[in-house]
Amino acid sequence: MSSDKPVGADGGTVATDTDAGTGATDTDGVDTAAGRCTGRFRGRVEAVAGGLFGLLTAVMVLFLLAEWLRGSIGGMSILYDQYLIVGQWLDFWFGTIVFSFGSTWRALAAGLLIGFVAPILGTFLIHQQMALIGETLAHTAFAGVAAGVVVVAFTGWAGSLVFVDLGSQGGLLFVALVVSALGALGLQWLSQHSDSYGDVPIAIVLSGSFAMGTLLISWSRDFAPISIDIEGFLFGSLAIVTTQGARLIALISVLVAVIVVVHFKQFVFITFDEEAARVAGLPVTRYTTLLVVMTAVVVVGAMQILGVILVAAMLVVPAAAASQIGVSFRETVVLAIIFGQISAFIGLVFSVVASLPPGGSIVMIAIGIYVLAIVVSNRSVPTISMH
Amino acid sequence: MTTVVDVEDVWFGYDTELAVKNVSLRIEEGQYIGLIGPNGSGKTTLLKLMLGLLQPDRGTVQLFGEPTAKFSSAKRIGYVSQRSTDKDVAMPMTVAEVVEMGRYAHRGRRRLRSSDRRIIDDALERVDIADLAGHRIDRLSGGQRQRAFIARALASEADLLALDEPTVGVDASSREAFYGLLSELNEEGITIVLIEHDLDIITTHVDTVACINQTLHYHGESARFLESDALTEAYGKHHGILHHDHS
Repeated sequence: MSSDKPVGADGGTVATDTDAGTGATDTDGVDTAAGRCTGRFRGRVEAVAGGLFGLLTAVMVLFLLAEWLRGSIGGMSILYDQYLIVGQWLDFWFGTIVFSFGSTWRALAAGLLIGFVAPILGTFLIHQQMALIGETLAHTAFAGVAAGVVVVAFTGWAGSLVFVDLGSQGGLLFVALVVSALGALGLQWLSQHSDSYGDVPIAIVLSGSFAMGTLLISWSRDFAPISIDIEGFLFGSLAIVTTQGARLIALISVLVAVIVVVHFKQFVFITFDEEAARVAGLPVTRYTTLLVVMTAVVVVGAMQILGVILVAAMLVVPAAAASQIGVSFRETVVLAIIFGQISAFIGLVFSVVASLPPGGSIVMIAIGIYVLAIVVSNRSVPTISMH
Repeated sequence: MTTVVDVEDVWFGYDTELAVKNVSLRIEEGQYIGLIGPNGSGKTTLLKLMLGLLQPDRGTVQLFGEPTAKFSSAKRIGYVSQRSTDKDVAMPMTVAEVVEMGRYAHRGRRRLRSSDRRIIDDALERVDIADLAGHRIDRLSGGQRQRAFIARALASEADLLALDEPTVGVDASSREAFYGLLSELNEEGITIVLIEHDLDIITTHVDTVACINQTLHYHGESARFLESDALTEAYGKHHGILHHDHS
């Protein structure tokens, strides 16, 4: 960082921020006195909100850990019980009955994790005109679930995989994951052979996989011993989030976070200027494939809560809101995560208390935040139609 | 003098259309060469072939003595594409973050060090946008944005700077300042390949001109370029050369 600070017109020092964490500028990126104040204020708000939700997420992840280990470690069992006691206390205060149940906590934990990991990927996706990829992968995942139903019906597979017992629901998710990942690779192949992620191939894959899914599900009804909650998969449902499902989300979140942190610079470069990245020697295709496969996996995890139809919104909306007001890219990612987690948390609490589908609740709040972001950033009417 | 770019008998086509036909040229270290030609003449294609973004159907391209397919010193090249400059998708990115990218090829997956930070700061100073470091790049004027991309190339310590019509949409005085900067960089030893269809710029600033319309119609000193028939050959008889309107 340069040590000599330039002097501004009013005689005060102008803060130059080459470590672009919190730009000392207003939302237009213009360096003014007001901009400096807003910049610092924003930095503080972001730090507080980030810290708060970080803490909340950590608390929830601890719950999942406690639930997982309570059979083997005594201390964990006590910890688990503490959560339920807090839940009972919350129920007493709010006149609800749901917080005393572990399944509610599980859903909240899953929601916060989804609100963390989906916007990260989404921020990269929306700036490469890949916003529709999430939608397509969700529909593929639906076909995957349907395929899983058929597989289970035909083989009687109850979800045990080598040493791990996934449970029947987990088994479905596993098949969905495989199909989704394959779909991601297929989409990548398609994009390379048709110069871009064009509307038409995507529309075909989108509707094709969903059509396949509906056919498979109706057909399997004739002989499938299991009845899957179609509405739950379409719109999301808290009941669908089993212990295995929540653990899957936790595992996915950790993996994706690690990969993104390690390769952050590369992903940023490719997103911003693909050709220059290529010239600089980055394996662009490999990174894009990695991004798409990670998206597929996150979509399968997230669709338990948000449902197939709305899961893509979690990728797109918080990231779009953050892009409206973010100055640096790093700040935008942090904001996207905060917005994603706010939407997930408030949406889930609301849906739990009002007994409404979680997907719709979460997405409406996310969109509300997006609209607010536009209003807040609207100083010189920036193009709203931008990604 | 080392040969920076060696293009030999290169042919390249998109599907059925031939874009580059039997082009051979060499760019030596320290040269400042302008690629000129009408729209669709294959200039951008040729540049991409030179940088290894495309592989020739026939013929070879060598960069710093290595075939482009296997080129391993990517950090020696700074590239400002047409799309860098008119990216209409407003991605939140500060100038500092853009210039930082110049160091990524050097650092790989490791974190940037203070030595990198110093190089980045120097690059920002060199192009005179250090005070804009924390600003969003899409809120800058065209001329300032261009300088940020040059800073990125400088940060990567590039020996070869490749630019594809970098001043589209930039006002005249910023353009002058921009090309002044490029001339300075060239004097310091950086090899520059520039695609530009403004003839004034070409004849005033660059020392070598390559005129291309599928084939190479001229390759030599810019001073002699206007006197040759290359322009008529490349652009056709009724082409007026006085004013290009970049509206």
